[in-house]
Amino acid sequence: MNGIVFLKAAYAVSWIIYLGYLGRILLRMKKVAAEREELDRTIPRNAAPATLKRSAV
Amino acid sequence: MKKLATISVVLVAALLGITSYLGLAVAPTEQTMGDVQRIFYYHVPSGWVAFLCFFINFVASAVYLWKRSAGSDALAAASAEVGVVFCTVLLITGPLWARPVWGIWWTWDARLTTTLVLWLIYVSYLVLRRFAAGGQTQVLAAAFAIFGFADVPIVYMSIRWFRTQHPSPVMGGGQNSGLDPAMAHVFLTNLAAFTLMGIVFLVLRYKLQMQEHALESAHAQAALKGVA
Amino acid sequence: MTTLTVTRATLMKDLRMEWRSKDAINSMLFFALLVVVIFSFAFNPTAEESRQIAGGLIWVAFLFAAVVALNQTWARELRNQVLDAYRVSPAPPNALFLAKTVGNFLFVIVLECLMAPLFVIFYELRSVGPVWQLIVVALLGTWALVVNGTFFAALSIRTRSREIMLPLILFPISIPALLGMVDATTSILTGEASPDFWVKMLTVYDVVFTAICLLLFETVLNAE
Repeated sequence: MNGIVFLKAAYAVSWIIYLGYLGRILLRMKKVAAEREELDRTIPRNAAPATLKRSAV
Repeated sequence: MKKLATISVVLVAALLGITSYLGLAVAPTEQTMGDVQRIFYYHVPSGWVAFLCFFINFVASAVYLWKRSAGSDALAAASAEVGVVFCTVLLITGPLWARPVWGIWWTWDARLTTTLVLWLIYVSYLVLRRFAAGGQTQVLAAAFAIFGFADVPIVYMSIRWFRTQHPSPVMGGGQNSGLDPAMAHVFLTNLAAFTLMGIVFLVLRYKLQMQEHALESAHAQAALKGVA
Repeated sequence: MTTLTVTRATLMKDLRMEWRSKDAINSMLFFALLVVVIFSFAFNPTAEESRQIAGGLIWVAFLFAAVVALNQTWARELRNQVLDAYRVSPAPPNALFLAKTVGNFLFVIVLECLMAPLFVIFYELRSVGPVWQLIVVALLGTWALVVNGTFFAALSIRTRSREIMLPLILFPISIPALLGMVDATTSILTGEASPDFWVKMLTVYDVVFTAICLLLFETVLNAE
């Protein structure tokens, strides 16, 4: 009878850790996607890429 | 992205559900240990995935030191983290199984101690990755991963010898020895399911790593353009 | 410019600088004494018991002393960009590594020579087994700690919180070596078992990890 508590605890811990970790990965992916979107929005406003020109010497 | 998230959540939840059902309802009750033995159907597959991940980390790190590709480094980072997660489950379910069955939470035998040391090594790998500054992270981490993996057989042999000298309680003698066919069936199915789950985690974490890396580069690019 | 000449030159430079300032040696000396005294308060065994536990205590004390020494291994090189100068020079990187490792090895050995008599006094230690065996174990074990420690110290100089980083990444990897040192020392002190396996294992550990360190040091030195 005592053993069942441990059994339940083991399965519960496993579910919590696996699903929790999955949630964490997905949350981070969402954050990265949001940051990327924000960055892409600001880029068109920037000047064209700087080019290196030889000095006229 | 939304689609990926829903698919992975559904898949992982389904796998966990199936494996739980198999382990809790389908598998026959064990003779001597009773129902507590069912932890075995989660415990061993988790361990298998963890060790597989650590091996992948070793190979990826070696490849990174050779090729210096972003992909191999991302795989190294991902596999280390996923491995630690599965190893954590292993190290928690183990004592939860041992306590009711053998009366002790833990013993310093070769297998358990090596697993703990493995966990410690890869946690310190993750800490190193977190604390290393800037561009050197990947190289330093990859170098450290080589050390870590090379250490494992040495750890195992050392503790094996230590324990023949100073015997102590042994737990879980041969889970695979003489497994009843009904149990073996559940065990193997769970093993396959956990491997699949591990792959899902690995692929997701790899993608995340690559995305974060790309974001960093994009930030750097944007900063350069801004300085036009 | 061979590896050997550069190694010797770098080593002599370090030793000479250390001899002139006596920075590290003094602090480590005092640290060693403190450790022995504190351990004596924590564990107050009889002569019989002390032989059983001394092995573990001594090596934990040596381990902490070694970490103190290792932490400042590369500190001197970072000031005035000496490390960068070394990277740019044609000198073989392994020479630098060997010089640092041998230097650390000598420092820690000196420390152990100072701490051991203190332990003998405070714990009334008398070895049942031959003392020369203890010396062999000490040499092998110290090299095991120092070779990985010097390498990881080089890794951790490029991290934040580098003082805590070093023990964090060094300890897990060193576990088999520590186990070997402690058990071998206990076996010799109590005379209850033969330390042969541990001596072999420590030798294997030293060879394997010295090789890995030499192989990877150049990569780590040039990591940018």
